[in-house]
Amino acid sequence: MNLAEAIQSVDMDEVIDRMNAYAISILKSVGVKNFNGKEPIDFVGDVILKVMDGQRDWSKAKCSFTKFLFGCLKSEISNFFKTNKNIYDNELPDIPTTDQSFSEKHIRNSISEILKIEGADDDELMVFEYWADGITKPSEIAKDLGIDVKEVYNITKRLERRLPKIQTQVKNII
Amino acid sequence: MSKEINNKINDALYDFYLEADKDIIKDSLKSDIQSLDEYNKKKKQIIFLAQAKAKQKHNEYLLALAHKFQEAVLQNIEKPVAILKQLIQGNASLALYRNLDKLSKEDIIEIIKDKNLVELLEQLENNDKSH
Repeated sequence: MNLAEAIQSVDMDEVIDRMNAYAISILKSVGVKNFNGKEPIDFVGDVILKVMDGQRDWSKAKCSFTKFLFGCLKSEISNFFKTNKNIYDNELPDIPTTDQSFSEKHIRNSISEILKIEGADDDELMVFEYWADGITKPSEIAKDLGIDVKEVYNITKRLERRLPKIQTQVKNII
Repeated sequence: MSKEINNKINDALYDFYLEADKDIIKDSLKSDIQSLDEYNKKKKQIIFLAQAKAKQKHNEYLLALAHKFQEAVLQNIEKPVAILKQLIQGNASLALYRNLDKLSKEDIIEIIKDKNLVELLEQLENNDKSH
């Protein structure tokens, strides 16, 4: 499928909404509102136009066009934070230790404790445990728990609102 | 390690926004965007530009490919000629173009326009390499 066909094959209006909501969420998780003064929608627009210009090569992609655009956005956001590391410290600090299992356990426990203090309920704590285990797709979590995926969406939205506080407080604890 | 947890949280947000229902996305945007009118205006501009660029890119590709085929026909290079013949034979509506020597660039565009252009270019380039 060439680019002209790919762009016709999806509802771009909806895809842009999704991409924009994701970009806003990532910004919020690190406590900022824009990308060095650039609005999330403008950042998303730049990513889409990079794909259309061929700077991001769709022709070799093996996934859906929506997933491809999302992947490009994720990568551009990651590049943005790397380039602006001195302005946006979006990562939890690394723990210099020789005991990897201790540090992982320590971080997970710290985050769970902070989530509890911040008022997270049992459902939120459970979804966070799935994330920490590397299970991040809402549909997979819902299937494993035997609940409707919409419930996982709602839990995720609640959990998402607590993320900026996790970032700042974990740094104080470690 | 903390970097790993961070990546997992980012992955979870990525999967959530890729999977979530349209309504959840709309609600999320409503609470996060100050001026929905301004946002919708920008969104329309992006879609317009993206479609225009995709079309422009497609036309450029089509022209470049037609040119390559035309050169190959003039030089009677075996493989590109065979590819064109195959395309014509596979489609009854292209029966008019049986005489390859007289094909113009526009004729070739007509023959290849609905095909997978990237694949065709790869086939031509593979042929270039083998010569």
